[in-house]
Amino acid sequence: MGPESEVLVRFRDVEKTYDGRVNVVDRLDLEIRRGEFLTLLGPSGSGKTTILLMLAGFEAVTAGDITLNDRSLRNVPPFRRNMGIVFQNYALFPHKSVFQNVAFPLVQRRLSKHAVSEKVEAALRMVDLTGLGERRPHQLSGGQQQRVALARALVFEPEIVLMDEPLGALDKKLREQMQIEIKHLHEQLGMTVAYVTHDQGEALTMSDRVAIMNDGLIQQVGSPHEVYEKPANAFVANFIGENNAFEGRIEGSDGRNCVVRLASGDIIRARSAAERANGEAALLSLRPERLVIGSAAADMANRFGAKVVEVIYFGAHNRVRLAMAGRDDIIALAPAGTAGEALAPGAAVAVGWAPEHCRVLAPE
Amino acid sequence: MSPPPDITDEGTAGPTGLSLEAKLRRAQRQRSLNAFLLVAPLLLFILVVFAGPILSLLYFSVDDPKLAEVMPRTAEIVAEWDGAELPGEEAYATVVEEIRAAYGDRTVAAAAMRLNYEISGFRSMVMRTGRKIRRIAGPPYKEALIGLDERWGDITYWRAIKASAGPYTTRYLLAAVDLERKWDGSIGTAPPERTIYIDYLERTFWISFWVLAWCIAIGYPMAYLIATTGRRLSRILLALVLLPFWTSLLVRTAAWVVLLQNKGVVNDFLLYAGLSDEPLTLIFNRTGVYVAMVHILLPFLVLPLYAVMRNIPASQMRAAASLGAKPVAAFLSVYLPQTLPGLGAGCILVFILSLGFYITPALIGGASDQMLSYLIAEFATRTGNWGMASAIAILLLLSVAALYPVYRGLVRGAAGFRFG
Repeated sequence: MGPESEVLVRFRDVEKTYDGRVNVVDRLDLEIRRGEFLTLLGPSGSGKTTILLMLAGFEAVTAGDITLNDRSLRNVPPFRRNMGIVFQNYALFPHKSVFQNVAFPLVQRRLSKHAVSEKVEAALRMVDLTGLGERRPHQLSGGQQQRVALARALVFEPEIVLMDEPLGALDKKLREQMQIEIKHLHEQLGMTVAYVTHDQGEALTMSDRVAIMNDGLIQQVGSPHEVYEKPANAFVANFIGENNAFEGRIEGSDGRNCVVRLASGDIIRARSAAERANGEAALLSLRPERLVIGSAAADMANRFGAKVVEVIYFGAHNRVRLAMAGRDDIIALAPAGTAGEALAPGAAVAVGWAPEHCRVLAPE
Repeated sequence: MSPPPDITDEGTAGPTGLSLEAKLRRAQRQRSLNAFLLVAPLLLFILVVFAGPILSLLYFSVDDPKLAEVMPRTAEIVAEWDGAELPGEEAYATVVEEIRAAYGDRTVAAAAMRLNYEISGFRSMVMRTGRKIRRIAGPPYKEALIGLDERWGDITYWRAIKASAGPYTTRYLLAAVDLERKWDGSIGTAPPERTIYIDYLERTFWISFWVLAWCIAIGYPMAYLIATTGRRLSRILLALVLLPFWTSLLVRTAAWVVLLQNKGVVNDFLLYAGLSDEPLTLIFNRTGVYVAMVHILLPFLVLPLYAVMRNIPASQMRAAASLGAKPVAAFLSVYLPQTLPGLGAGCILVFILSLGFYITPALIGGASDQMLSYLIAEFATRTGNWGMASAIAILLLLSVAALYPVYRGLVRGAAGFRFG
């Protein structure tokens, strides 16, 4: 689904406060487009779940408005909003069988018995649970319960599916498998998904767009590639992925290309998304995997001599801590099979990176 | 423990020669022995203070030794008598002789009392016979005794003696359900002046039923509020529910007397607020009994419900709503079924406890609000009729036992979905 598709949900200047003093959600302007997979990503307490609860109708909006298909949701109770929700603890009904759980939204909508059983069977087939309809939820594994919750949220073809950290209770392997399955379901069914997580890997893997939240404010909205490669501010740069941060001042700039002098006196060439004035304080962000070690660094615009402080073996790559430019906490990832592989602590190496991989951000 | 002698060399035999199965059995036997030793003191305690009294209760309800102790030969003779027509001279002679002896050593009153259970007025008749027994000098004793009191010539009194001959009787158990054994051995309805027990039983169930209904009506929303509200408020509410447990039942009941009487706090308030022109009769009637019993029993419903409700996550109702269930439908199909184990446990507790209520109806109720326990106390402490007291206690015990399968059904039916 492209960005040109129509808007399904629109948050307009939404605020939410519980105690009348602090806004847990502040000045929220956000659009969810029909058919997209939008993830709200942020640390706990950043307000992402509150946004989902307001959308579902379980929390009242303090100020502003939420619209669905351009109609205000202000006076629409949760049971008329037609939104499928997958809860963190699944919220399956323990006294009902799997079949009855999935049938629940259809029975509430007074579908005929025949239609109910047909749709439930189809939904169970879709999540690969055929034949388990008679089981009770507690007889299923965590992953199977997750699928039941998914089937139940999808079976009535809701306008939008909301998922609140749905994979949080699963172990790593199962979580990664379910990420792919949910993504495939999204592609097959073309449904709209609003997904809440604090797991950046999950957000990057699954989403069309990611909205990064902190302290009740949206920090950046963009595709996974955008938010990772072009973080809008220091918070985003630090929150998503690993980040090497350098502080310095702008010495020269032509709009996009900047020259930054660090406190150590070293010069770094970097790119900026915004106009920067000379003398302005700047924060540089460099991803560890963009830092090249060894002879490949020779023709890079940014070149430094560094000393290896520590090497940690990760199998597919080594994580190398370097001392350079007056610092000793610069991290580089050296993939297996590159010059960085055979490093030992104390070795002197050449490192370098291209200016387009180093972003100039406003200091926090 | 010594190893079992039947060591088999089946495929799984280990180096010690014991099969795995035998080793497992031995370990389990050791474990069950340990477990038994751990519970042994408790078991003994229960046997002594619980099973013992119940068994003696059962015994008291059929035990009937009084007449046979005081007048053993009379008891023997009437036991063999067929009861069709008046007994012969030998019976009269024995009665005269034994009443004379018993009157002399002042044991006749116990026998007279027992006979009075059969026909009221028998006691004074025996006592008067005893006083005048000196006048009987010799045979024929039949004429002499009938001369002292002509009721000695009435066969129903002789049948009463036969019925009291012991050593065991079913009269108390039958009387507790408004039945009696006729002189020919058949069982029939007791005379109307004695058919009060089934009424009491019905009233006991009826009052318990209404107390339970009120407890559910008040307790369910209360438990819901405590389980779902914020932690501070829920702690305060829970303390308020538990508060009555800290005072004795008698004090609480007495407090209700103070509150509910005609010049009590409630009536003063109603008059002062102009809600009523004259004092309402709130005490010594059913209303007062309901108010006090509901107050006393409410915690027994609220606590098990609260325990169950606390474990139902808020997301359950949210999930139901998001799936399109209106609040009432969500409650009926999602919330209520999950609270059934707690509700069942609470209901059974309240109902069984209220079946046995004594102090509260005795102090707050009127004559027509007394329950079975009142009769038990009445027989045990006022008239000393332990047979009747035991029989009614057994009636109460059986009523409670009959409710146990209901409880099991409720809990098992609802517990099928417990998270393992």
